[in-house]
Amino acid sequence: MTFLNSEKRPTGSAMLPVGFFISTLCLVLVAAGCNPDSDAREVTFDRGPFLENTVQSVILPAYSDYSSQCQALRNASEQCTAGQIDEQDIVSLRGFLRLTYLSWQHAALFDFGPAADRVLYLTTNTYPTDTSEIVAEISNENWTPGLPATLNSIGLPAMDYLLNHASAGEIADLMNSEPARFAHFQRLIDFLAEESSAVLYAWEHDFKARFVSSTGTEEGSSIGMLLNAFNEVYEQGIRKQKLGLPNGIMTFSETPQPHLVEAPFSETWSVELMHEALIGCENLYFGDRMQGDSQQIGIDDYLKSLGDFEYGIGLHNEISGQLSTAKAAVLSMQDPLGQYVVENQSATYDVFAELQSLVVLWKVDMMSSLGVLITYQDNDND
Amino acid sequence: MKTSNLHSFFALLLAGFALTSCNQEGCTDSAASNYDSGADSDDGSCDYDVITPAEYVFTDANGNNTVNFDGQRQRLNMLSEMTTYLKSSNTPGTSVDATTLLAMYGNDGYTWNDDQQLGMTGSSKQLRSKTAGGDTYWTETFEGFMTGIADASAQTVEGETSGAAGVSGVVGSSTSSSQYLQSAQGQEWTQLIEKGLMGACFYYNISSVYLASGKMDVDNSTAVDAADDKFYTEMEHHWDEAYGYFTDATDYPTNGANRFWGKYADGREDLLNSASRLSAAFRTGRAAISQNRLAERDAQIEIINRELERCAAGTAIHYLNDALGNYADDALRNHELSEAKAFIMALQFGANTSVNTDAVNTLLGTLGEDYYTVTTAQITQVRDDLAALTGLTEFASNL
Repeated sequence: MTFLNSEKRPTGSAMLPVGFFISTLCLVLVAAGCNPDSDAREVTFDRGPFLENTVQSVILPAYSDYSSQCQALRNASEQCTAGQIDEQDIVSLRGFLRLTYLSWQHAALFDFGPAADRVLYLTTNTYPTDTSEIVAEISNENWTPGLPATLNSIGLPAMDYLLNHASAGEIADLMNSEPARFAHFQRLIDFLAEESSAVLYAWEHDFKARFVSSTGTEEGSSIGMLLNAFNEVYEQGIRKQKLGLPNGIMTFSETPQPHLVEAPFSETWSVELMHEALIGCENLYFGDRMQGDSQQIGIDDYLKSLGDFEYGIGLHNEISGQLSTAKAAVLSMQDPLGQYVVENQSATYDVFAELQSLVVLWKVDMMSSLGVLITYQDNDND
Repeated sequence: MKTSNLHSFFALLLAGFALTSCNQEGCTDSAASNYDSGADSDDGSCDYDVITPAEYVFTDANGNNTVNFDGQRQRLNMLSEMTTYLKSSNTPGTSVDATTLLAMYGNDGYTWNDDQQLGMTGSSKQLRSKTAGGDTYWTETFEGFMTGIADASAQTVEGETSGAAGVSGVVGSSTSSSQYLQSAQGQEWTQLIEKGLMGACFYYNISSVYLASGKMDVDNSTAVDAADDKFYTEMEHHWDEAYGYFTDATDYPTNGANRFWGKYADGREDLLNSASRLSAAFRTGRAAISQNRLAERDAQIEIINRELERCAAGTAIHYLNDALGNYADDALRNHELSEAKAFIMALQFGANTSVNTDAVNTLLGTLGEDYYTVTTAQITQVRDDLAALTGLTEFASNL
């Protein structure tokens, strides 16, 4: 019997084939039973290159342009000689401010990460602006821009007021007779220039690497932050604030509120800014500035990778078409938008409906197709 | 079949029988983690994993319940009642009374609603004596918050209702229907008291008292008083008292995710897994004690201390981010910064010392006292410093 004792029985392994077979069978059964959609929605899309391109082709250019425009406006203001400002100076500053406003429409979409840390969205474009507070702050030497109490008297809207509330000649006269007024304008653009370059710096030096390396879709992932910020800015900042509040459709009384339009003192920029904001959305969606006529990887490619289904290519076609429709609808309105919403309220309701369609396509359909949760709160009703 | 082949066949058959009937020593209990299916003689080497029950339910060998945390449930209910009373002052024209608050705090002459009929009124249980071990610096700090809110709420009764920078009173949100009674600097006493006591009382007693050596190096062999239905050992009971300060629900997080640490651990579940890790560690550690596996118990204590710290720090970071999101809304920003302050304060009461009292004071110094003039740079610096101290940097902007 000694040879039998010395022969080690392979404990456990004798059972392995049967156990393996059973567990394999279980896996197959579970896979077949619990996940009927898995073949249809198999995602082979590589999110790494998508995030990389979104940073390189969309986000960094947006911040870079906006920061450059702020700097250009700042330089232009420094070219003016205090006390000898003329009408042409004001016309020139207005031109730079318009370009800064337009470039902001692109940068505004990325309200997360470095921008959220500095509340860039609030410091840049909180409107309506409080004109009496602006006037009061002109002579305040201890004024600190960016504190909560200053948010409704700084940024682009405050500069729209200071440059546009009267004729260029009258503005020049005011700035000359009250030097602090021009100095305050310079304090305002100094602040925006510094904030915008700080956010650009943070993206380039730290946040970009973190953003590109987080390729999941869970809460807090890069794509989760990107698409939540995009949807929130589109729904609240574009659809509601640029049109739904001014034309009254999102107010209880449904009375037009002309003072709530963006850049009201310019009287000529509001529609253009709304249109530019849609172009910003379009750039993010297509991953470039060419409406998809390139190889850059955008959200459109992400949807197309889901296949020839209503939540894949079908949804992409709908979004693409609705974007064109919405842009054309916005351009059908005329500045001054404040006057237009009063005189053509029902026409602006039709435009609003086109903007609203994009909320459904982006916030509901696209987000569920991509498996990304909406995590921001809708403050409309609470 | 040739004879020789037959012989071989029988030899093999015999060998097969011998294989199954011969004497091999090892662990023969299939419930053990080192079960040896080849062994047919037990050599006493069986080793068992601690079996963790799905709920916080434990019995002795005779099936008697050994879990009791009635004292903790009373204190949780006291803080719930006190918080409800404090929040009544968020309605302008409603005052809260300092004497009443102090009577609640010390359970001294106050008549509780005591919905669960635990005998809270006149019981020996109180929040005050359990605040940082009764340390007078801390009890006086909380009593100061209580007289502060009483004074400010009395002013709203006299008609000075609206709070703003430099003026205490009720501050209404510009983006929602929320409104809160806040100090002239935007600090909200209700949050400092409720979340502050979560730290100084509940967290302190879990981490620095009941799971610390003084309450863990105790008898674990005999029931405290079986004749009086105290079927638990002293060590088991101390563990249960720690658990009761975390949540008083045995089926957490199905229940118990509605208040205090149970609520905020649940809130940090998505990113930090706080609720599941804490719940599992409390159950596993308790099971280890019942099986007298003290090394395993200590491993779970380490997890609990670490996860409570991550939960407190993560919750503070969460509120700092919320304050950035609501930066333009005085009421919400102040409210969220007050919550963040209280959770930062809580960190010094745990056994983990990543954020000790000095570090807490440095962080709160960076944040500053006036929440109307706080800058985004101050908020993000506190957030990022706190995240670095507690190993949460990768979550700092997402929490």
